[in-house]
Amino acid sequence: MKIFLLILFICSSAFAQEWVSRGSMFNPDIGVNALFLYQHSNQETEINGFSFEEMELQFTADVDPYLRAQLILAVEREEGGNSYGVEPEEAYAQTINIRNTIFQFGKYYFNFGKHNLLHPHNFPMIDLPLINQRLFGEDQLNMPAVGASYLFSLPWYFEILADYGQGHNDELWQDTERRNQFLNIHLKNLWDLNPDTTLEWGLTGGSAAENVSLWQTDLTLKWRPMVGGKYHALEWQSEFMGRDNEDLWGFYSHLKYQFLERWWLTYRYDYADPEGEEIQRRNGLLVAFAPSEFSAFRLETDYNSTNRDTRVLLQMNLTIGAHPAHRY
Amino acid sequence: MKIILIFLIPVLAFAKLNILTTTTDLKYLVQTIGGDKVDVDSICKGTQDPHYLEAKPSYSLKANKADLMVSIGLDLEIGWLPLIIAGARNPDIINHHLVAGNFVDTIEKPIGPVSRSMGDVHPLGNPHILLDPLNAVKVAEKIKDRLSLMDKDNEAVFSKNFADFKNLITEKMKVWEKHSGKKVITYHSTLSYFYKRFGITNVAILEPKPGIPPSASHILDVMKTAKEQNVQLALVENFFDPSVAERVAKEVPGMKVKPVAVSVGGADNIKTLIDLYDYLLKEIYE
Repeated sequence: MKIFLLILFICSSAFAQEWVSRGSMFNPDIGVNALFLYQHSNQETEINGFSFEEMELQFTADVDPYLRAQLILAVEREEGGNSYGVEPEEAYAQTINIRNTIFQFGKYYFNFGKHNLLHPHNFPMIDLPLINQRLFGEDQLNMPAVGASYLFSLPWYFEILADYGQGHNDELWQDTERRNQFLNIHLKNLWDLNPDTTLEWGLTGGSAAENVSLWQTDLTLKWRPMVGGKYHALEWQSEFMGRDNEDLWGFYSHLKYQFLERWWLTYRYDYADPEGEEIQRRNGLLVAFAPSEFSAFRLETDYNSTNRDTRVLLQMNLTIGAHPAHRY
Repeated sequence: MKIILIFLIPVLAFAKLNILTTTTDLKYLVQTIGGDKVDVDSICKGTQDPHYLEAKPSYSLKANKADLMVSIGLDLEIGWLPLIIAGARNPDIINHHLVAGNFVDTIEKPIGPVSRSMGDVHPLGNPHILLDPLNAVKVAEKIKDRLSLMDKDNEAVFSKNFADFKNLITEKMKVWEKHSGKKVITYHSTLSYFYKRFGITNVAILEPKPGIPPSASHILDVMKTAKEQNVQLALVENFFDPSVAERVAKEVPGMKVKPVAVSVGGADNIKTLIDLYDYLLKEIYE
């Protein structure tokens, strides 16, 4: 009897151990990012003070040998109120086993240039650029879609990305009730000018319901030396975009300089020219301290010369768990 | 059609395996075993810190063209390699990915639960495995096995190259192992395998925790320990700023600070792992 119980115990504990380890091995990588903000404006005084800006819950895992999935749930303050809502910021699957091609489906940020792909904790400055804000609003160009991208085997990096989706966007379309269609094609080129420096040039065309057509182009120069690159780096990124039918266009240009291992400075100039309205111009300066890859404190001041608004913002950015690396 | 085939056959017969490694040390091993039967490139250069690299799209382009990816693993490249592989859209490197860290016994594996309060800790152990020449032999053998599997026609070449490399390490070890008994301080725990193999005692690490820059109080602790133990040498991996070690050295009588290369290609004269081991022993003992 004792032998039988011993065998039973050994078998059950071995099974339990295997079950636990296998179970946890196949769990998705889970990460949480939270943004806290203090801001002070001399014009929009109702926004002054502390706020819990957003929390993102991110789940990432391979589905099977063919697909990888990512789900990002955003918990954010609802506009004009103190209550919070949960919504799927992104939820998509991508193929992983097809040569040169990635097919993608779900809800995600469209490849409309550089800034549109970023989540708030990864914005170069705390706020959206003025032109991105005017074109797409706070939610950016993000909707349920299917997409494909193809990487060409050329001497430089050249990729074509296409997205076709359907959704709502209050800034883009007059009919805000209807789910409208959007087709987006982006060309991405990147050259290694030398081991320290890359130059990226992108071009986007978008065509949507209500005869909306959009264009975009971006240019990014990045420098991080092979020797001493832990302490110094430079990034200069400019993005121009507009909408043909309403004569809205604008650009931003930022210069980011890492001057110590955990410190960097960013300057941005913003410009948006909407037809029939005053031209918007904004200068912003940000200093950031990142104690580690998982936390950052960013202090920004900006001045909008159109409405004479001076703002000071302090953002605290925390990440726990497994957070996938950000795109280059 | 026949004419096209006649032209294609020699090209296919002499096609080299295209291999991408994450570090220059792995590149050296693949080149040593593969010889002229492989084309090999490394993502990280010898002067860069392999923990922190930006995943440039051009690296994905290199990975797109590779037949095999060779990495260290043990979470060394976790911040950048997954992005490069995902961007490469190359089923070959998903199916043919050789992870060197799977084949060695790691050291400094944390005991008990780990958390980020411990810094950039590696739960699977210290990933700088190739700083031990005997680990390099173990990894070289696995590279030989993998190349032989992928290019059966050249199996004999790979086996001979591996045997030559193993013999070279065996012979060099007789000289290298004569050194022992030195005390040092180091910026990061990059050289732990090297120290263990050659009897060098690392009295203190300048980083208070892995990946965390030194704080004032920790620097004072390191100064105190270095004085008490009469440490005469501070080694700083040459991708870190040596100024903190220089501050410590000012307070410790007789202490020298040496910025050192810790990878193949980390300095102009370090072309091979043998050069690297020779160079490090010379820097420590001379």
